[in-house]
Amino acid sequence: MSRELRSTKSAVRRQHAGRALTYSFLAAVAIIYLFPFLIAIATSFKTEPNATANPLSLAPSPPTTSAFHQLYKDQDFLLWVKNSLIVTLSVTFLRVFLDSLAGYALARLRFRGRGAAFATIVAVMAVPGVVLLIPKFLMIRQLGIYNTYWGMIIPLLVDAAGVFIMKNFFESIPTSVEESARIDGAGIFRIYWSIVLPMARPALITIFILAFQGSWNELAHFIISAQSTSLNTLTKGVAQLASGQLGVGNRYPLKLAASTLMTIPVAVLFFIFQRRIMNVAAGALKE
Amino acid sequence: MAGITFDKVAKTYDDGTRAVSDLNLEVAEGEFVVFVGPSGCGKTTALRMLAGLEEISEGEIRIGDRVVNNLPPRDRDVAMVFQNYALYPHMTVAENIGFALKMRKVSKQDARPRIEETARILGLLDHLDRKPRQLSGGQRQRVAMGRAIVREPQVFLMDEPLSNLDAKLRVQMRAEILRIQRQLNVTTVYVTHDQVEAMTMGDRVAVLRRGLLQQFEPPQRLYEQPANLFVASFMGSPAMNILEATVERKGDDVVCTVGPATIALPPQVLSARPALLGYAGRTIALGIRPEALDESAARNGNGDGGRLRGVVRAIEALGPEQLAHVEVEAKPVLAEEVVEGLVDIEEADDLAEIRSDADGAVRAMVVARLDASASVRPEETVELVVNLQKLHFFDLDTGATIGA
Repeated sequence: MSRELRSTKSAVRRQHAGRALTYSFLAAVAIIYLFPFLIAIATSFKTEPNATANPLSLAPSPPTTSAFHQLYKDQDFLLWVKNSLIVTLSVTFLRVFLDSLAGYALARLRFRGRGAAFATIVAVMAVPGVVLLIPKFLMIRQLGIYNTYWGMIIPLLVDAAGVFIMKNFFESIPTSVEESARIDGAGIFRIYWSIVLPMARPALITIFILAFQGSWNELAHFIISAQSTSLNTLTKGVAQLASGQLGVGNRYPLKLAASTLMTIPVAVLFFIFQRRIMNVAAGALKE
Repeated sequence: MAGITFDKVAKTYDDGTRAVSDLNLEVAEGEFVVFVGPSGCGKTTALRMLAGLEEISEGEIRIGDRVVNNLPPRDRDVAMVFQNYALYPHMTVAENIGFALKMRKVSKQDARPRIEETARILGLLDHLDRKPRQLSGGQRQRVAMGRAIVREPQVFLMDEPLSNLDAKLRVQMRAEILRIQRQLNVTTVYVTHDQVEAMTMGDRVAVLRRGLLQQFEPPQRLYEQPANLFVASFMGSPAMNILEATVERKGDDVVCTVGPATIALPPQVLSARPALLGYAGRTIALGIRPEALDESAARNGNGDGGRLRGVVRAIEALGPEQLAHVEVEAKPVLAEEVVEGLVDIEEADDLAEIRSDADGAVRAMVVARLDASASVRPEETVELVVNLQKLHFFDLDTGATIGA
């Protein structure tokens, strides 16, 4: 065997070893991240003694769906789901609409104070949400919408990050497409609605996912905007389960069954829309 | 269908840039007018002001009898084709073409036959249900045309609509746009930086430079009687050869001296340009089109014109003819308007090279359009006979043509 061939072979071996090491590291990290989810799913199918004895085991013995039955029977789970859906869907659709509307205005319309308005929006992004909880609570009380769906929905309707994303996206759309629509006879709202919005699908999907996930998982705002148990959302309900009363055991299977069910909509949504994010502007212009 | 009037129109941007100054121009009904000039000359700004996409700083634009200064684009009854087509990517070809009709509340039943007729004219009938991304560049360009045609507007505006197509398709679409325009007889303003497009398409061509209208004439007249150095060097490919020459009186004759060569100007040339006599003893710019230089006449001892002697540096064979780049002893005119007018960067480079090459005897590169049968070879010394009837004379200070 020639010396060159030998050195080539050893180089290939080194490359393989390096790659194996990299993948092992990545797999280990992935497992660390995935493990809590796997434990949650496994524990939701465990009996309470089994969950207490082997909390980290991924194999329920014996497997049971009693935690799920218990959720439906003993808790207001369906009410929480209903409330979460009402609030989340309202917030998501309206936020996509309002964020894009504001983003379009900031990207394309010329009006006095546009720069200042945008600077304020960017500044709001820097304020931690928790700082605003008390003022928000006071305002909601003042407006008379405390303990109503309105109080839970309205304050979440617009978010600075969404406006920011939409503005940047609209600025990337070539103005000639809009000018063409103007000459065709379209007004500002028509251009926004019929021309620009369909072209902004990737950004809209991003806002949609962020808004859905954000409001589905929101807890702090629901705590300060409503007190009535009839307005409990999934997050509030599950949080109450987790804080649990004394003397009823740790109730791991029940809590984690609720958590598992709660995760499903967001995961499904993400997988559906991830595929649909694509470049819809293809063909509009000659690049 | 309506005429268009630009009446002392000017455009100044917020930062003080003056894109168009004192533009006066009238386009007749049904006429095809081309705005041409190098980038930054104001041609697109003028078109956008006409479309309503740009505010007018001064003056008045009229479409027919209507002053349109303050009318939004949709009320001007104009249709525009953009350089990058600007199609709606999420709509089908039919929806793209029909969008303007929808905006004008034309019912679906009435719109469909119009969309189909437009698609038929443009050869798009089989593609009506496709999205723009499924079309070729040429087809997208046709859809953009279709959007303009279907409206039956008073005026078509076209902003470099062919510049994104390859050379062959461009020639084909040029003919097609002309055919459609003639068929519909709609007043058209067409913007391009390509002087060949301007020459071949326009009933009249407006040449702009630095926001100022230089000349507005039919293409052949622009070519044969350019108003100034800029128009002379911009219109025509290859560009006009422009050399420094001294006008002198020798007895009753007037001669032009170009380097060591002397060109005697015949009486009919002088009678057509009496002002030339006033330049005696002064240096002017002498313009010679490539086709006004003939090599065979010199070889056969024919031709009564002056002769330029030089060395062939390069030959471009174009099939029916050839372009000879000949280095002659003469000083090229390097005025700004000449350099700016040169469309071809290489031509501008040629000038620059000569400038740095000065070693006592100043040389200039001239291009001669010769018959394919002309037997010229690189590095050979040739004599070129100048066709005296086709000479152009310009004032070196003002750049204006020396005429009556």
